Amino acid sequence: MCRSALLVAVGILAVFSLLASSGEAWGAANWTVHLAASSSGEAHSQAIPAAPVATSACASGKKVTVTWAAITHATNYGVYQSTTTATGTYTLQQTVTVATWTSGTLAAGNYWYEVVANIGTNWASVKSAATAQRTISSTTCA
Amino acid sequence: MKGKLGRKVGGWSARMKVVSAVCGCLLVAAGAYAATNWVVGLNGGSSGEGQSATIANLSITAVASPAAGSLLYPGGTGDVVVTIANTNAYPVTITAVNLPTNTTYANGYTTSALTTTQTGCIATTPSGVAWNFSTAVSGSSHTLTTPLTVGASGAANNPLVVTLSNDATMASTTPAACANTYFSLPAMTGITATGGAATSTTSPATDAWTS
Repeated sequence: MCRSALLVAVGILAVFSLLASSGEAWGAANWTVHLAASSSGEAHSQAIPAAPVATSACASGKKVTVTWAAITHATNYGVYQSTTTATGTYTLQQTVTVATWTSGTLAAGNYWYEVVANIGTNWASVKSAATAQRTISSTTCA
Repeated sequence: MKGKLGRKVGGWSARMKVVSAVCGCLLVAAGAYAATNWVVGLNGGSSGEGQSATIANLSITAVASPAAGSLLYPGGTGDVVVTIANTNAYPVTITAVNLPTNTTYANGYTTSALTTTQTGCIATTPSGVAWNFSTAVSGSSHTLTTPLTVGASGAANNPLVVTLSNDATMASTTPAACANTYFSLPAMTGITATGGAATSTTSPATDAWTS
């Protein structure tokens, strides 16, 4: 009888020792505990994008193509046009998602362009420097 | 008539001896388990679950170094840098974190010291900066790509500095005032962590949850 009792005890001890050494949960599901309000991580945001550097060229017919270097993470670009001077009033022509834009057929006159890079809906670069003057004559672009 | 186990031996019945032996074994086994495996909470915890007074919670805090490699921008994600301190006498392994809702936003600060808030870029503006993969439900659990083990108190790799790759997100509508700003992410709501023998993660480390 004593031997039987001893065997039972040793068996139980072995089972629990195995559980303990293996790390298996013996009524020990992991606990999830709330953090203090001040416990956190730190992140950093980038700066407003720099202004694009835009250039223009005559396209076929009486059209002007404006190109610029792509800006990292830009959502889109706004292309602005002036018909008075390089420092005149610019109006938005179109918003595009690629780093080039071609006008429609233009009336005779002088044209300058500036480009703005946008990230999301509220981050906008300053306007690029004005492109060189493009002149549309009655027949061609120069 | 008494059975075999009912026979008296030296004043104690055999049944009593068996019961005593079993109880002794249980105590020894429980002690062995407790000595090798613990479950650890986070500092400031208030889960209401029972917890041994000898188990200290982990502290997770914002840290400026190393600088985040991936910066936030509207509609994009960025790195989060944390430091995890363990005051227990044994390593602690973290396998998952619990996040607040995806509309719990971070406060913006002018410097990495996180002392002066950025005008126009605080949680209630809102900044639009939150934990990536957080959901509409508070407490959602997110498994780390690689479990993180913080060394025992006084040992190497404690505190453990971790860069959580692209685990912060910025809304496309974030105000321009939040450009070039440092963010204190909203507090996690919990972690899944276990104490016990383990090889500590080398600090600084890189990890992430990706869903």
